[in-house]
Amino acid sequence: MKTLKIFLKLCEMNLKTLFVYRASFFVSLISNLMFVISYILFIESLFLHVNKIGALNKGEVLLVMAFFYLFQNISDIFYRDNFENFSNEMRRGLLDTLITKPVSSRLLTFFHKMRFDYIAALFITGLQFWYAWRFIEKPFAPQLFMTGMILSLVAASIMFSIFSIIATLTFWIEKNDTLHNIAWHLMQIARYPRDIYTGIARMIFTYIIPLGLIANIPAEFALKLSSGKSILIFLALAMAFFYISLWFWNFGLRRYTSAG
Amino acid sequence: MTKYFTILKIGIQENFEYRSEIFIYMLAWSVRFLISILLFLALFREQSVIGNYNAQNIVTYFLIIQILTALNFAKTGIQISDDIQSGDFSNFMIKPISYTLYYLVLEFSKNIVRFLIALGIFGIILTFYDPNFFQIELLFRLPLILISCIFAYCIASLMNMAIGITAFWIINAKRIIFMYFAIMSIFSGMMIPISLFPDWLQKIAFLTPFPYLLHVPAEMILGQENIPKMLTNIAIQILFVILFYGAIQTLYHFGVKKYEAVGR
Repeated sequence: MKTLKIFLKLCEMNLKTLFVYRASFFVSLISNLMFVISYILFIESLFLHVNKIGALNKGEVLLVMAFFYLFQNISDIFYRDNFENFSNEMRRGLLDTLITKPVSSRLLTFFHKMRFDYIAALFITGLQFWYAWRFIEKPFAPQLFMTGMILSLVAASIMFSIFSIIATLTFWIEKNDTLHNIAWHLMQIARYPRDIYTGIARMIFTYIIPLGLIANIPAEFALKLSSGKSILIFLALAMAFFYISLWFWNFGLRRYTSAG
Repeated sequence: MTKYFTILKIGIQENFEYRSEIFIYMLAWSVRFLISILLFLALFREQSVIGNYNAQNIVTYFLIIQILTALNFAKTGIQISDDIQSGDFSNFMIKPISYTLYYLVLEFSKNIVRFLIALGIFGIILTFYDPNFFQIELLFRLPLILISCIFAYCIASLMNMAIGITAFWIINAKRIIFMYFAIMSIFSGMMIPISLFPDWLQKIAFLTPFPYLLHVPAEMILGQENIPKMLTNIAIQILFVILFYGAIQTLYHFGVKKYEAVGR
């Protein structure tokens, strides 16, 4: 309960910042639009030459991509900037002010700065869902779609756990300015249909680093393609990653010595 | 010139101060390469040819793109934007050094190390994967290829710098730089060969400088271009370098007059 109250207070503080820098909202809108258009052009160019990627047609691939952007938007709003700046904050001793407070150190460290200007990107993602569904022959089922949206929150929590593990490595590496680089590139694994990963890659991206699932499971649920078993595995992996990443964070924190 | 050689030397030494960063960087880019390969190999399970490419061609193409990206991926704009926003730019104003040349050389010193490592790793993979790639004709094309790669680096860095310098007016140019990365990722041929675009999109792409960063040097390396075509493309690269250098000098001249550094 205390953690939730602190989280909501952090949201309130950061929301006030949004109204100070209003232009950031529109700049984020345009920036996100450029990325989405680039990837749509990429998919459209591919489908000039192929009919399916894995077992999915163009609309279904675009839907996976839309769900990918949805959980990416959630991560951008709530915690991505904090991960990118983590190495810098640690070296400059700013981490000390966050971990010495009587609240969850991980919560404060990775949620103290939120970017509500990225809410603009949610509008673009909404357009992307509309564009994807134009190419899907199945009727739109609102309940399944909304459940897919909720599963995107679970996806965002898995992504948070993976980012947390990568960030915790900074306690040993010390200078990790390429942290955001590797995190961003890893996220790209989630963008495509999981059928493209076969053999050992499939096992790694499903069970060890479940990036192959995080956009695909919500999309498959919205399309009535997923089984209850895969959703249970998805939820179990989310919980497992959360607790593993929390344990690793506490383990890394014991090694941390302040920069003064 | 001595000071710029010193900057180059210091930049190269800085690369090896935190060696794990180089390793993490290579790992990050390898992930991107792996995803591209897995995606296209999944497509080639259904059909043997996509556009002008078969499975072997496409892997060779992405290996070359990976090597070229290590050289041409520039972040000078972000550093310049940060300098202007934080006021650190003031330190450069009093130094007897060209600000733009400083970052051009410094970025090159970082990228050349990554390029050589990428050349080693991905070059070895290419040697085993596609031994027929290393034909004797490649040696004859090599001088033009190297010239094209250097101009490609200059275009990438200068474009980045031009955007970064707009921070004199807009304070923080990072969002615009991210838009640049978005456009670059598709129009440079990094995600998909430009020849797989629809015809209308190819025409639009070649009106921009982005294909000349990666796609054009890659096509030269793959032997897709004859010597006259290579010379034409290098001439176009030179034009873009002149254009962006002129833009930077103009923006810098007016930007410095507008610059304020509070508390410095």
